[in-house]
Amino acid sequence: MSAAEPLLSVRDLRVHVPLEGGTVRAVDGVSFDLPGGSTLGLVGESGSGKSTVARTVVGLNRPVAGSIRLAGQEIAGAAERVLAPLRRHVQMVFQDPYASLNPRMTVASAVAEPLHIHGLVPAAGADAEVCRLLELVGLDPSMRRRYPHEFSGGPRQRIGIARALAVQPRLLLLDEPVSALDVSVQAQVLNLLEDLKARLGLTYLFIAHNLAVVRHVSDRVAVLYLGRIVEVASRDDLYAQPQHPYTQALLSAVPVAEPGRPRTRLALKGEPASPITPPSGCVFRTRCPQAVAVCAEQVPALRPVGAGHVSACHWHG
Amino acid sequence: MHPAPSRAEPVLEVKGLTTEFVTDGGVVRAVDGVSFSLGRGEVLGLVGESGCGKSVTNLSILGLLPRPQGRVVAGEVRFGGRDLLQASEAEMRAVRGNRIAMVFQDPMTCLNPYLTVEEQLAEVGQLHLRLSRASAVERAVSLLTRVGIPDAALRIRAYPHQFSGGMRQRVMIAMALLCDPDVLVADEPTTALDVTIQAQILDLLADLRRERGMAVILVTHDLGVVAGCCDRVVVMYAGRVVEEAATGPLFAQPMHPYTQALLASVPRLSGAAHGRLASIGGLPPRLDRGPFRACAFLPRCSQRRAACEAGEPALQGRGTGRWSRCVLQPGELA
Repeated sequence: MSAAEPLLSVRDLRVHVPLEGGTVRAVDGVSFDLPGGSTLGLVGESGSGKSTVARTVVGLNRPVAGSIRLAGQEIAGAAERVLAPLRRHVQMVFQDPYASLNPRMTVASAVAEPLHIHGLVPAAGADAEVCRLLELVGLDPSMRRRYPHEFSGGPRQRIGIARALAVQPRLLLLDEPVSALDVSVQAQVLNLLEDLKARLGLTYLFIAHNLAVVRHVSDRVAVLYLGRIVEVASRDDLYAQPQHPYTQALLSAVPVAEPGRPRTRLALKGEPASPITPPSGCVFRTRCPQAVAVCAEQVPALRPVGAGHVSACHWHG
Repeated sequence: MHPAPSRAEPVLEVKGLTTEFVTDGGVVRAVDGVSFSLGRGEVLGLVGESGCGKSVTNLSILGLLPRPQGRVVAGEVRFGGRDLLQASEAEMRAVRGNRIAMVFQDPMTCLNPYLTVEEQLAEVGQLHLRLSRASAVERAVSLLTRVGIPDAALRIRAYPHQFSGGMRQRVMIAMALLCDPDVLVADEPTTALDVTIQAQILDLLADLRRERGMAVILVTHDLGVVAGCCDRVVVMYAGRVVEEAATGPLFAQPMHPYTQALLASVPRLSGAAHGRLASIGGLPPRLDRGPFRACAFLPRCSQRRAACEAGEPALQGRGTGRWSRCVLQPGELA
């Protein structure tokens, strides 16, 4: 892998899910690069395709088209023998630690399971490794004989993180990792993720609907709408100078914890269109306050609107 | 920002509410001596971590505690000149869903999956307002339109599962508003919704409170929603009120270390972005060990001192309309 090559490179990714009533275009032409050691935030409303992107990168969904390169190696549609050794480099942390841990496995066996699957540690050394991993995520190793239900949300999410870290991945796909947690516990888990990233040199794809949380953790942010990326920019540019009408509306809709702060809300009418029958042209045009005739006719391409800042709107230039 | 509500005429008053649950492990006092009043047209925020007693407070007010485990052991809920805690089940049924309506986080738990929205909404109007079926349906359609459901006359014939999450939440809000309630108890009403839909719902609630003087008890963990919607805030911890204040002063100068810590732990949309967030170490205390011999927040408090162990502090006045359950005076707080 050359120095300039991103750890993860996704090109024109399409994930279509066949249903009885038609095909859901969950992800419809998504491209992005994620350089090693950085964090890309992925934001968008329910159904925008955020989770599907992550699930496809980790191999839980199959793309119908597009390329996913991990450290320069193509993994979309690759054979199992190519994928198996690569899998441990990419791990996922899910939103709900209540649902993603087997209630009948102790913490020790849940964390040790990936070690055995990937044959990383001899059986005799597994217990010491489990203790090391639990300490790494700030849990007391003496708790390892307990079951997931004996832990509250924050510690349970730490167990999920320890399990993901067991195979020494380079890339973590974090899918709403703090959404189910109280704000005080959320802060602890966000701090832990920051520490781990620095200490282990990790790379994060961070998915969340909470825009303030994404701002806190991300270097760059991509905004998804109905299966397409509508804007990508550095964290500071995206929040200070959003260019796409959807990003502008999304940011203006976030309630801010400052009473009496004057703000103009760009009200959006209605809900996103159906991903089974997406609108022609720009997928956002059915809710866009600035839509004009051309928006129904042509799909807007992502165009540069600043340094390292692209946005897909016909109004740009 | 909001019109000042008249504190002279509270529409609902909760006094010394204490609720216990009988569990295998013993008696849990989930709510302990909670008091607050709600003015006409006022939006009162109820905040605190999971398990602090917000939802149990509301279920106690509504007479919806799970039986037989849950029971109110002390207190009063004054509404319409009487104590709702003394009302019979028949009397409560006449109040609930009528003068006091409620909206919960998950609409699927409140809507019957086997009935169309029309059947469920018309029933409310027929039962509480004694409307004919035709007028009840007409009223339901007008409210569905009001909460932003397009083609309401047509969509009302659909079943709950045929609506998206945001739409279902709006159906439930329309149902709660059918009888023009005096009080709306809204428990995390927008938590499951996307921000653009949340903004639409919060605007609607603000309109209704302005137009009809509807008062709202809003339970939320989102301090942004509190800042944008609430006139006053009650902060709960371990089943107790630990701070109460008007929204502006609460955010500008929180007077309880727990409130300070909650506010500091939230990532912001502006200002410094990276860096460590303040967090609150440890966990809330167990509520099944009898009365507290010291401040309930003491083990997690970064500002504790000897005086905090002398007993549980009382809720003390801190200027007009402000209370804090902390021995530290504002000048002594970090």
